[in-house]
Amino acid sequence: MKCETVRPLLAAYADGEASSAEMRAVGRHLEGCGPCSLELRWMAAVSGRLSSLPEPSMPAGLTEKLLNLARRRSGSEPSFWEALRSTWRMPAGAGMASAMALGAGFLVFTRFLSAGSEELSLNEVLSAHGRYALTMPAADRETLYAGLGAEEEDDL
Amino acid sequence: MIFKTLLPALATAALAAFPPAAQDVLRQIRTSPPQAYSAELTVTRHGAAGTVSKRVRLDFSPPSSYRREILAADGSLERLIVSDGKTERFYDPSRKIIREGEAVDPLYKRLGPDEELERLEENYEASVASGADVAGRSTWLLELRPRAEGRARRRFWVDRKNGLVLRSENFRLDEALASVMRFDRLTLGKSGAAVNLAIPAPPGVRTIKRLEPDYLALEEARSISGMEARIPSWLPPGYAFESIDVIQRGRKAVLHSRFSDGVEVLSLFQCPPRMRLGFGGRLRRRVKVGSARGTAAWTEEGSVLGWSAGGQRFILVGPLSDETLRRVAASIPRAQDSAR
Repeated sequence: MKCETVRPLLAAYADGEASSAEMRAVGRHLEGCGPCSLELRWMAAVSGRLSSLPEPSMPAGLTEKLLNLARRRSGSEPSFWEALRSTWRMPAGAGMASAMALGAGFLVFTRFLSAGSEELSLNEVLSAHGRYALTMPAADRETLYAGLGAEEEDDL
Repeated sequence: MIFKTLLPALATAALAAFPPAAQDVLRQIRTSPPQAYSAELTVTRHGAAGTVSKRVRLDFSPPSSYRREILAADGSLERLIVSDGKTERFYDPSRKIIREGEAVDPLYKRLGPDEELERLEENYEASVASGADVAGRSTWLLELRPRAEGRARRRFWVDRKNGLVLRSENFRLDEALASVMRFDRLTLGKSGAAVNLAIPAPPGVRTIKRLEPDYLALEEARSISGMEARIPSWLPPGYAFESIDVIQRGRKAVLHSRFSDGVEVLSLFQCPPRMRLGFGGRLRRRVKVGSARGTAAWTEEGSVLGWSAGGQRFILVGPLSDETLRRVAASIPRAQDSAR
């Protein structure tokens, strides 16, 4: 697969939501493509760090402030001082988003520096072993199923 | 007149009391029951950390749809597994995750069902006798005794009419019980009754697609992963290679080679360089693997041995003694030997 074909699939690949054929094909491409591998690593790192950040809360009275601002602007032109202030005033939430992006960027940078080794958990190993054991002719299915599932920490 | 009607009835009853051939019972338990049913059962596992029991609510509809609710000690839902026979979904409420993938299907294996039964009969002596009633049902007791040392035995109480395994006991090598499964209640239903496959997941639960396991030959695994599978030159008597699965982890691949003796499974995981094995909170100990250092742990699935050799990380999992696992590990050829 070419990079142009792989890049639109990277997000789904990172989330484990691509089809099995796509997963295999993308995986093979990534083994030999540095740029796509780096993009995937960055994507996964940003996604992980952003999802771990706390959800920003709406400042108190924001709605009323925005409505008042809209009323003033619909009635008259802004004063010199209002115009000056508005060029420095960020839209609601943008300040928080900027801080999150900066924080995420920093975390991505530090994670990239420490990237190199990955960990396979024993639980994932036991889960793969147990799922194969289910295919055996005298498999004790109920005992095996009772022990499966909760152990998987990452999608294998 | 009485003689003509009584004799056939007596003969029928006498024949019914004779246990069937072990092969027939083995074939019966391998196939899905022909009838829908709902059940409550208890699974008890005896591990290094103690004994854990779970209750399971099970609904089944042929050919292979099911709903398994695995309950915690307080009766709350710990895990939910549903399948329509093609797609299987694991719901973990605590992690707010649903894992979705293909249902387990042994027909995709490289070893056919008859060949696998032959391997089982080579390595285990199967016997059938009259068993105690379980959940109000009469049973046959099927016992699998290993023909060689170094394996554990198993017992199954099989419903005489529909082949359902109503009770099972798995033993460890030291003859201690490893696990017990027992049906507490069984209600047979009408054929065609649908299983409820709905998952009561609240908002925010995400679904992760799980990759389907493969059953690859050595050459296929090499072609897909670019890795040469390093197969042990020594295996415990009766064990033979069956297939390989390639597990993708981002841009890395892990080879999962599977060996079996017809009943038990030995797994060998071969990981690329710099991939560590995390034991979590499990008790583990340092051991020697040939000239290398390894880590061993005991789990409900059997012994686990992890070590590094030739720049790769290996993990063995199986219901075998530590000494046997170390012997298997020591027989794994070096990379340059594998390539010849």
